[in-house]
Amino acid sequence: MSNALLPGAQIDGFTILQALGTGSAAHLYRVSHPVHGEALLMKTPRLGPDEPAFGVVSFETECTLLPALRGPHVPRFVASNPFSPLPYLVMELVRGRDLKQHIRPGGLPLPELTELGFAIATAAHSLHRQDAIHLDIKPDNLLLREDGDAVLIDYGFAHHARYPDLFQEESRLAVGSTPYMAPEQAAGIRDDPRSDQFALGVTLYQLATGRLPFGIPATLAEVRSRSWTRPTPLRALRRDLPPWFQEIVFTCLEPEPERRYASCALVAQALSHPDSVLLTERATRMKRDGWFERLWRTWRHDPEPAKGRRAMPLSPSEQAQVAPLFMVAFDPNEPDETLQRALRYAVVRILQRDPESRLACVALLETPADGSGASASERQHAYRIALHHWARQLEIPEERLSLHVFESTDPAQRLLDYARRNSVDALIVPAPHDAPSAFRFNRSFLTRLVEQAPCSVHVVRPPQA
Amino acid sequence: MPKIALLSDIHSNLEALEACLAHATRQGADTFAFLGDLVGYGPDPAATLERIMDFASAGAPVVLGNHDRAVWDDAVRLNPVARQAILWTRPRLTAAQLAFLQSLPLTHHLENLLLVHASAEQPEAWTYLTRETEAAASLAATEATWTFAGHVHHQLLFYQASDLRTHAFSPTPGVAIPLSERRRWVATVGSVGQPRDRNTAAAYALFDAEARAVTFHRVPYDWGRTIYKIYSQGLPPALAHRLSEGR
Repeated sequence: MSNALLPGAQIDGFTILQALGTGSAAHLYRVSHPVHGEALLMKTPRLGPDEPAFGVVSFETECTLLPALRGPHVPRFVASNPFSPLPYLVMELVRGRDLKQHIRPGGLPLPELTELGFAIATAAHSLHRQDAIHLDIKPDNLLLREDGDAVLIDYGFAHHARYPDLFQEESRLAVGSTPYMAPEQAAGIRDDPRSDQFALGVTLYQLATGRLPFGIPATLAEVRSRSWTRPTPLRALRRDLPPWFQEIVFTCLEPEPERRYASCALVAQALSHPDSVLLTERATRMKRDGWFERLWRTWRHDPEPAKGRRAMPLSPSEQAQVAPLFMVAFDPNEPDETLQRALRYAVVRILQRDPESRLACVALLETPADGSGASASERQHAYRIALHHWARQLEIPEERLSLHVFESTDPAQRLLDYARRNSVDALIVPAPHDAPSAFRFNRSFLTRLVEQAPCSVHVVRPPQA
Repeated sequence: MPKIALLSDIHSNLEALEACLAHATRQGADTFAFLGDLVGYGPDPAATLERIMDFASAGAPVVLGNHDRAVWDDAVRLNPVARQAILWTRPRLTAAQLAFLQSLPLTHHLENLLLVHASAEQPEAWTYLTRETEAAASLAATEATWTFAGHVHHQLLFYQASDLRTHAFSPTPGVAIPLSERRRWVATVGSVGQPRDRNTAAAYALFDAEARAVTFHRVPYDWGRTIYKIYSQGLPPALAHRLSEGR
């Protein structure tokens, strides 16, 4: 405890309340401040001749990155003073469950696994959209808020495209936690957001089985061996897990980033829409590779895949939007054919720009106030048929498409919640009009969407005569 | 000097200089520093110098660039077009302006900050800081925490990383980058008067000494007007053309 602080000590108006322990690179305290509040966390780097040298660098990195990051998946930045003789960083003390508590020998039940996987993938995607990569995702660095949102903590090893990366160790000493680390990260590559997806895959594997897929490697050479060693199939350890779950986890664990999902949003989508997961050989593996297969894979693999690889041509935020999710919301029973056509043209034009983009088609349906007429399921069924007919004319592959019928007394709120939960990149809606349809895209509805949507809103109007 | 605007390679481009000065003032700059190559290439050497001399008499730091030196020293090596522009510039300067150029130092220290036109290592050799090795040599030649330079007409930030080697970083305009005192930094701030990265906007940097952060900026200016002056005053037309393409 070279430079630890005692309760009651004051730094720049912050009062130390309680020591919360010592991490690999920093001391942690609960602190309060008359203006910033009671529930705060202060980090001070471990300084001194006997302390690890990377401590200062990771502290500096976190001081730079945390103020630049936003949203519920990052602890809110409060203050920092990296230049004072006693440097510190203060952030929100996230109240939530520790993901470590969820690791148990038999693994978690499937609904909890998909829920946690969805939450972590969504958190990682939110970070990638801000041009940052965490590079140290593991249960130790994940907290769960009461509403289910995952929070990624500790940005000491993170990378941000808009700031100089202070970790340039090349392969001499890769930074991050080795059981979770992607092979390309072990080779010193720090600008690929898909490295976070690999760590998410390791975390999910551990939550599902209580075991680490690649054990605890002692050397970097052992970390690199995961380029050709395949973990024991999940379903060999847990027969009750469905093939689609194994497909998703093993796609995340692909040694080559190009063979993983293009973005963490796609991992989240796969976990929340298992029907849409295309099953491959990954889903059907039931046995650990035999010695011959392992020998073959060792012999066949590229010894230095990172050599000759250029820096990522896309920044993390660009990479995160390689496979954007668009959402079109309308009334498929709209009688105005010119409007229907204009909407279809707009959707096709937008989808053409990104060959990997996906489309969620939403039929909006207001619950009748008087409860008269057909039953809810009959009503929704009729809408689903109309929606399917409309979407078929787009002529895009089924795996890029999902269909939804939202019946609600407050359809706008349903749309906004869906867009937020699924990290929708743009929302496409028809312009306000007075057609006598069951659901009206009136002005107040659209105003609310435009004001509250977590993304761009495209309002489509047919060409005027 | 809480906020210091770093302007380099102005090259007699008055429109670009005024645009950057106005931008920096809006950003809260209270000190203006000029990192050399005040003249050369552009059509307004006298007016540009007049403006900078006003700043200098109020205490603003100004250092010497190779084009400034070429005005009074034929030993400076320049490419033929640059030489032509210098020969065009000479008769258009007053004695006072020439004396001002002759009085400029090669380097200027502001506390922990070093201002130099090319490199801290042998400033008079006019070495371009385009690669890590040259930046490392510049770092080795000074004790200053922050070195700001120009000469290369590109915005780059060199820094010492955890491997103790020097690395290059290409900054995004408008993003404040903290420059911790725990390591040492060299920035090339880009060119006000002749950007060469296929972006016509003028380039400069703003250092916030209190927050220890640098922000690289790009400022659009009326280059159509500058080009018109270049054509109409008999400077080489290539100098006009490159401004319209930012190369």
